[in-house]
Amino acid sequence: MATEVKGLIELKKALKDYAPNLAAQLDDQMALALGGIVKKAQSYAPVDSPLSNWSYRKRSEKNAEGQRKFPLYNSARVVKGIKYSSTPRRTNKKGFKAVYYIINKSAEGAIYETAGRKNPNGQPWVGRKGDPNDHSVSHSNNTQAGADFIQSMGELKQGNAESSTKRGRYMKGRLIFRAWAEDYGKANAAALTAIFNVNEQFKKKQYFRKVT
Amino acid sequence: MSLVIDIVGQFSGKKAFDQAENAAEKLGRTVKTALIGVGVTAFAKSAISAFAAQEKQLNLFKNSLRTIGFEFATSDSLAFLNSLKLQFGVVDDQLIPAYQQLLTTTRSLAATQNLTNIALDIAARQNISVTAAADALSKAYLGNTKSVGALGLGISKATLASGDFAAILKEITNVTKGSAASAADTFAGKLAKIKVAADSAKVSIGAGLVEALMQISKSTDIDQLQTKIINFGESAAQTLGNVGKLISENIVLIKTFAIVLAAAFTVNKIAAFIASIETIVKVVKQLRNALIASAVARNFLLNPIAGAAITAGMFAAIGLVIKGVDALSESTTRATENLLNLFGASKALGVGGDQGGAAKFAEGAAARAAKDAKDAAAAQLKATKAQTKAQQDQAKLSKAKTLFDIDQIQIIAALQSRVTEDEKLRLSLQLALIQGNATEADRLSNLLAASQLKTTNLALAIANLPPALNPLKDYPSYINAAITDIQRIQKELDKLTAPELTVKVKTIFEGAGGGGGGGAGGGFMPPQPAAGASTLGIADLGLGGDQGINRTSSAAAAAQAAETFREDARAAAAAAQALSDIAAQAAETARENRRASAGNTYIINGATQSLLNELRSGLVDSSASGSFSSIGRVRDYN
Repeated sequence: MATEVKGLIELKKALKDYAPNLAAQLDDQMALALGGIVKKAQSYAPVDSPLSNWSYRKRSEKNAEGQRKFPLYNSARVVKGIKYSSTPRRTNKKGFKAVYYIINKSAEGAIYETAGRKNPNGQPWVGRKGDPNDHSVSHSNNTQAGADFIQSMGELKQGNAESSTKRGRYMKGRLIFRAWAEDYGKANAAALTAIFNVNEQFKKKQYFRKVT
Repeated sequence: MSLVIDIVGQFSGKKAFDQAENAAEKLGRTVKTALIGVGVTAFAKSAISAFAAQEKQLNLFKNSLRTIGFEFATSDSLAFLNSLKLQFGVVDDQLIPAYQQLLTTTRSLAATQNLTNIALDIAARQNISVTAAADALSKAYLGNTKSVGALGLGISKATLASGDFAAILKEITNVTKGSAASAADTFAGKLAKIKVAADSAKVSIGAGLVEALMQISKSTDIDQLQTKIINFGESAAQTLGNVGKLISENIVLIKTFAIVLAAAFTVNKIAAFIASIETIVKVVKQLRNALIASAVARNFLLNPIAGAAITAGMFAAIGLVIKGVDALSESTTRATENLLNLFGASKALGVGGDQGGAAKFAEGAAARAAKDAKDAAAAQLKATKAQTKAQQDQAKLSKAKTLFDIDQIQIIAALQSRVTEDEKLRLSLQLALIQGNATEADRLSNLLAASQLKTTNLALAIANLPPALNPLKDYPSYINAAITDIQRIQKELDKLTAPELTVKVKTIFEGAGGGGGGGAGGGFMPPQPAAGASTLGIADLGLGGDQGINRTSSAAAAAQAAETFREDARAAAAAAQALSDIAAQAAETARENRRASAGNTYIINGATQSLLNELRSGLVDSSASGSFSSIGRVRDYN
């Protein structure tokens, strides 16, 4: 998990109510701090599908049973889905609420990001005989389909393990995790510095509640 | 699914755990609240505790038998003890140790059973515990007869001194035989038997509870159950998800178990439980959805035994809920009837009843009653306010209506005129009565009553006044005196004698005619010289028949006498006139007295002169009834 700043949510509320200019300043500085990772991550998204048959095309998005089909790769949507946000997320199971974060939102972007984490050589192959509802195995006629799919996407990069409590495969990725790893913690430091500076400025001045 | 890299964040608390914990506590409170009414929690705890105690005792007993080589007789011994327990109403806490001690001493099943029966008789006769009786017998069996002698059964000292246990036992049997059966046949003995039966049922239910827990947790014994409970607590997050599954798998058991538990409780509490079933249904949903059984796991971690009891209660509640929900799905009314029938039957049999939680239920009932009373008071206050407002409106209407009330108009007009205070009171009272003003009418009536009381006192005082002087009181004496005087005059007159007069009359009679004879009636006739009157005629002249006047008196004397007589008559007339004057004077005096008496001033009991004047006026105008008129009725006596 990322850096914990106690009182950050309260600070944001105070900035919003008493010093909106500082709130805007903080947002700008966070954009500078995290925007670089986002841009770099977007740049890692291939324009064309790693596999020719995975590329986006017009088709029915649901199968006969009404279930969503496996998403096709759309570079534009992948790029669009990579962004940073300053809107606090919902508190997770461990009680941590992320305030500033980078997100890879699209389904195909997530697939490209994480394919091969669990099974670097693809899922175990069972072919057509297996349970069709079992998604932990490969039902393809091609026994190497999974491996080919993962290999075509390139190497999984280990993320910035020092900046997170997550270890192992959960920090590996090809887009945002790769960009974050290659940033070497600069964005985290910049974000913390921005928060610290804004907090100091807020404490030095006396603000009054804005009149709405 | 989106991938996220958290850069900066804040720890806001373990929300999920907090939620689960809060939900668990809420479940605990809700279930506890629901179960307080039926006493399930207390009963489950008691049942499990009883089962645990008996389990421990039985284990010790089995171990003891094993050590003395009578393990094979365990089941037979327990069966014997169970029959004794039910027959004589003696609890296991006394029976098992006594049997155990006797068997250890005698090492004979037959002797032990015989001595146990004798110990029961001794205990019943001497009102001591079976354990103490068995202890004495054991010691006597070993040669120590002191304890048996101390029992006070009347065993001879020789027998005791002989140490012959058979002889001692014979004497004891002769004294105590049948005491246990007789004691068991008494009311207290029957109660003891019922209590034993109830305890057995409780132990059975406790065993069922523990068995249910063991089955649910797939444990083979208590230790394994405890271990599983601890593991269950440690792996709560995973176990909790399976709770619903476990319940569904053991639904039949839980239902049966719930019926057994529910049969021990009263109808009213079950009815209350049904009333809260909606809440419990929600709780069940929370249990299924929010991993609510973490409360169970926590209870187990903190205190496995108590946790087991609480958990048993929870499962019982869940079973009841499921049963209630199933019944409700068919028909809520039918469920109620079924429960009523179920518990009505148990109530008729005299079993069941309150198994704890009665005080809490009473508190709950008191709280509900207080709440109802509060609501009723609020409703009553509201009704009172509405009634007051209606009365005020009515009063306003009545006030407006009085503007056209002729009677009131007349009274008000009369009040505005010049009236006395007493009349004013009467008028005001009459007005208040017409207006229906009870308060004012009461006040005025009191004032009027006081005024009338004063008047009544005055009248009474007047009645007690001394009688006025009678002006004619002495009148008869005056009359009598006058009559006496007249009689005296008459007597004096009677005493008068006419003087003899010699009258020489040269009588010349001519012819036969002459004067008429004298008046026979005494009439007085003056002498009339008449020509030609004869002497005879003159001789017949007289003063009256009775007077006997000598006809020979002379005319001069007669004239003198007549004159005297006339003077006396005038004197009598003067006396009569004087009498008349005296009478008139007396009458005048009487009138004067009366006027004088009427003009007196009386002071009675603080009444003022004005009041007396008013009273006098009132007496004058005593015709108070009828319509009042102020015309010419006001008198000012000042």
